[in-house]
Amino acid sequence: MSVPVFTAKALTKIYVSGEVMVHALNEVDLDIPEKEVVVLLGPSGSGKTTLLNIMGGLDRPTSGRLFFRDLDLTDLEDRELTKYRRDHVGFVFQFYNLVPSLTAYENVALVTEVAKNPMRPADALALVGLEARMHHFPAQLSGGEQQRVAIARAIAKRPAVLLCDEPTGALDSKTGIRVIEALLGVNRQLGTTTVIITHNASIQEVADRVLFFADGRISRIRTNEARREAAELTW
Amino acid sequence: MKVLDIKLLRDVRRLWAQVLAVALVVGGGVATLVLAVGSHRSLEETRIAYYERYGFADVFAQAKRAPKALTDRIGEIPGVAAIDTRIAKPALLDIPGFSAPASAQFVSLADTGEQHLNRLYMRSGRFPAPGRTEEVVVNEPFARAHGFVEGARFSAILNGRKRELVIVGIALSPEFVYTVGPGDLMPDDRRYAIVWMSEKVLSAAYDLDGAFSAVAVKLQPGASERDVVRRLDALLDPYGGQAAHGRKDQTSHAWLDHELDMLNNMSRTLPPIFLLVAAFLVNLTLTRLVALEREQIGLLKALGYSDGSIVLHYFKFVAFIVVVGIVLGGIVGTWLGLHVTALFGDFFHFPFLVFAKAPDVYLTAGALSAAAAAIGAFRALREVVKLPPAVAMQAPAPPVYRRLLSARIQLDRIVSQPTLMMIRNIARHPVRAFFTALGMALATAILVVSLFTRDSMEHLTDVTYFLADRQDATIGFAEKRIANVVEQVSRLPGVLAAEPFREVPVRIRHGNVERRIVISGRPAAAHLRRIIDVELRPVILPETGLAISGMLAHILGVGPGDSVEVDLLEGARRSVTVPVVATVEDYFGIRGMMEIEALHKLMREAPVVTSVNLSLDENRTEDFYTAVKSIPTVGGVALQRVSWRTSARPSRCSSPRWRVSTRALPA
Amino acid sequence: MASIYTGLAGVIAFGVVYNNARISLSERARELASLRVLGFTRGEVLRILLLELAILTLIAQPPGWLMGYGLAWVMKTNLAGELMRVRLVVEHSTYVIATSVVVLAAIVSAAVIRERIDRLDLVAVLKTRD
Ligand SMILES: Nc1ncnc2c1ncn2[C@@H]1O[C@H](COP(=O)(O)OP(=O)(O)OP(=O)(O)O)[C@@H](O)[C@H]1O
Ligand SMILES: [Mg+2]
Repeated sequence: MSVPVFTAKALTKIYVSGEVMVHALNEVDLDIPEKEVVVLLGPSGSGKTTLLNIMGGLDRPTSGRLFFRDLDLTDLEDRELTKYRRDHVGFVFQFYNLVPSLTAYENVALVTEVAKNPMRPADALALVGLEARMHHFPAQLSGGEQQRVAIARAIAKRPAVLLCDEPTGALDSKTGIRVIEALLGVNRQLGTTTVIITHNASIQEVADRVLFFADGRISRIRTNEARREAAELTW
Repeated sequence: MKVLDIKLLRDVRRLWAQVLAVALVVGGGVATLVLAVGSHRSLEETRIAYYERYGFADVFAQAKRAPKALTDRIGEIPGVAAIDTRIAKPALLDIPGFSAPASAQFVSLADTGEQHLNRLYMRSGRFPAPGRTEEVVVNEPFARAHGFVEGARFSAILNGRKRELVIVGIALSPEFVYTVGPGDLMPDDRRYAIVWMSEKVLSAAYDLDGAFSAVAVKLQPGASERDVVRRLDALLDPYGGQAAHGRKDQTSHAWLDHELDMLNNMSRTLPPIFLLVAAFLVNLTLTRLVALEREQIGLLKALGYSDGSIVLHYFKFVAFIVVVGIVLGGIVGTWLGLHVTALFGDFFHFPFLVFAKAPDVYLTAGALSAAAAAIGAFRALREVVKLPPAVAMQAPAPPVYRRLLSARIQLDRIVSQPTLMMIRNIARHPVRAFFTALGMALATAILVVSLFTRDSMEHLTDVTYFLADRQDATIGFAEKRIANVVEQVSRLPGVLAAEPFREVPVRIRHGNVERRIVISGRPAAAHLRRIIDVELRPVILPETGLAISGMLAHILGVGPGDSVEVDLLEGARRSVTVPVVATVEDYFGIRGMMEIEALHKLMREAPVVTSVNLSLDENRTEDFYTAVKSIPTVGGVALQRVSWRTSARPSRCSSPRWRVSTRALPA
Repeated sequence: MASIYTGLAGVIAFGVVYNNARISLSERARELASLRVLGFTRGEVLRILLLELAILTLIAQPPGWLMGYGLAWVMKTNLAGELMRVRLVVEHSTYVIATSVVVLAAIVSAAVIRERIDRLDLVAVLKTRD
């Protein structure tokens, strides 16, 4: 087994709102090896997004440690965390989060402008099959199309890790498969470690490793000996 | 172009209405400052240039009859740079087709054609030709008020004799920028003129050959005005000299000064208030506008944009708005400033205008607005930028609603659901609701403060014309007259009542504070020209002692019970100590008031008057006019009601009441 | 002169009130759109927003008058001179005019808001998270 990209030790995230304490993550230990495709499955509210956010440097854990390679993310200052996100992380958000006043192309360019070795925005959009809609604004795109713009934006910088929060949530099976294909293609070509949150159990077939979440803990880990291709999926 | 800049442009376009609204607020603040300071400076510089170029004198004095030979002795006073001796006399005019009595100040013109001081600016025409005794130059406002051009004729009663005069020139003078007839409270250009005529002719008319009755002095830089005034007084004293005085007590200058002062005070008071309020409002608005971008700021952070570049992006947005506002405000303010300057310049009959440049004003106004906006943006950004991106990207957590009032009162039974939501929303964001309300309160406040001058002026007018100066006319005499003249005047046609009035110029002093004022004497319970205090009560003058304006009491630092030293600048010219028996909170000038008999006693003189205040029968005014014009000793007639109705000033409203309200406060 | 200042004060007042109203709308666009989706009529949604605007505008008036009076006092004190002084007189009509301008600004802003709400694209507001 290769060196892990992410190593979590007793990672805990507690949200306090009023008198209620929510253990979104409860002492999670975890290794995610380099170049793997990892799928996170679990019921709603089980802490998947929380984990992904912390791995992406968007949020900080309450306690515990999280390493990216040998970089301790829990110790980083804001500025270092920003640099980490800019240099290494591609993020696909659960709610797309496109800038409404920018076109699809410009939303991608937003990232390629600050990245070190990016693709051309048009190429990234072509990868998700949106070259024809390049100059449309988010409000002119369907939910699935917005999601694909978000994916193009995430992969355009050729990140070391690609973190996707329900990238196919809004898509029909055909486009869903194309999106998964695009993600796997990036993983294959660039060796990008890819973490995908999904509610679609059939997607676990394409993963090297599947993490099952329940109540802020990883309840089970499954490793697939042989990954299926996206084209073989059905849902 | 950077994608963030594209976003900026699109945001500006999307929010254009709000961008414009914020820019207008900035612009409003900037415009007031630019307007006020710009117009005040322009007028100030115009006046300085006017005085400079036309040799406005520094010290003025009058005498009954001083020999010309005295000129050299005056020139020997240390600090005197130039002297002009003249003959200056008030006289009644008779203008064809104009029944109301008009009066004029006659001023001699050196026959050498060479004026040293208070030089005329000739609007048109020429100086009187030597030997042509009927030729005169008149001041432009008077000519304009009557539509006179060169060649127009009118007559005047000079030293009791009627003379035909013909206008050959129309001029302006730095000495008579602001011309108010004696006894009048405001300029009435139809009834008050400045007439310049040959010294030879005027001296012949008044038997003043080889003599002068007025002198103007220009001081050397750094010379002491006080010393020159003292020495001039000493020189002129044997010749019936009346106290010399500096510019401060020269009527035209004093009023001009006052008007400019008002303008200056306004520009010091109102614009800063406006600018600060605008800055505060911009700050509030931009804070909220930037706060709305919370999720996008979170996203940019998540995508790896540094805090610095995000802050810069929003600063650019804010800068754009502010720059639009500053440019807009600058342009409008400059334009209004020019307009106001021209309006006042026209009102003062300045021969030319100097438009002052005020780069520092633009800078101040711009910097203040920009700083306020930047701070506003920064406040909002600081809040958002310090959130982890994951949190910022989510809509703010649903707020915790509390039950309003107690659970037992079922509010939703009483009010509808939308009303309840509204109440909850206000209760949920008390700070935001507070600032929103504060913003609107400030909007109301600046409207109130910009409107209040009108109310206060109107109040002033009411008090002055309906409570205090209730006389319809005042007859002023060239020389003081025995008091029985009141009897004679009261028998004139149309006169319903007549009241004596006596004025004595004095210097009043307490400690080392000194002011030159006039003490007026009137009957204790004057009925026409009354004294009204701030409580709007008529003041009954005590039988002895002096009442003074509250402002004067404040300046001198005295109160009832204290004594002041008074130099009487007329008659025996004694210095006396007088008890202050009352202070009157009045609105105009600083003055002293006494019961008229007490004043006579103080002067050690038999009862005399300098003017008589009259109430007239409205239906017989024409008879009165005709009769009064035939009295040779009358120096001038003030018609308070008439000038009150006709005076025109740069004003904002056409109603006469409003026009008059703007009398002294350039409104 | 006073009329110029009043005009500029009016412009500022207008800018403030309009901005208040517009930003309130933006801040609550999603909530209001949700209400529309839940079946509230346009009028009801409008009422929530406008009632708030109206109440805040009215609440702001008495303190506004007070502050205006205070500022006027400052100005009066500054204007007092040897030649003339003014007495601080503020007629009721002045308060009425000032308030009318602000209320007028609020009404015009309300009309703009109304038009905005009519055009409120429910789907777009709920779809994009901006
Ligand atoms: N900002 C927050 N404040 C309070 N609680 C939060 C916050 N964010 C998440 N939570 C809670 O933390 C828990 C985990 O949330 P998380 O978003 O990680 O779930 P998830 O597994 O991604 O669910 P889903 O599949 O529905 O997206 C949930 O119970 C959620 O309510
Ligand atoms: Mg989730």
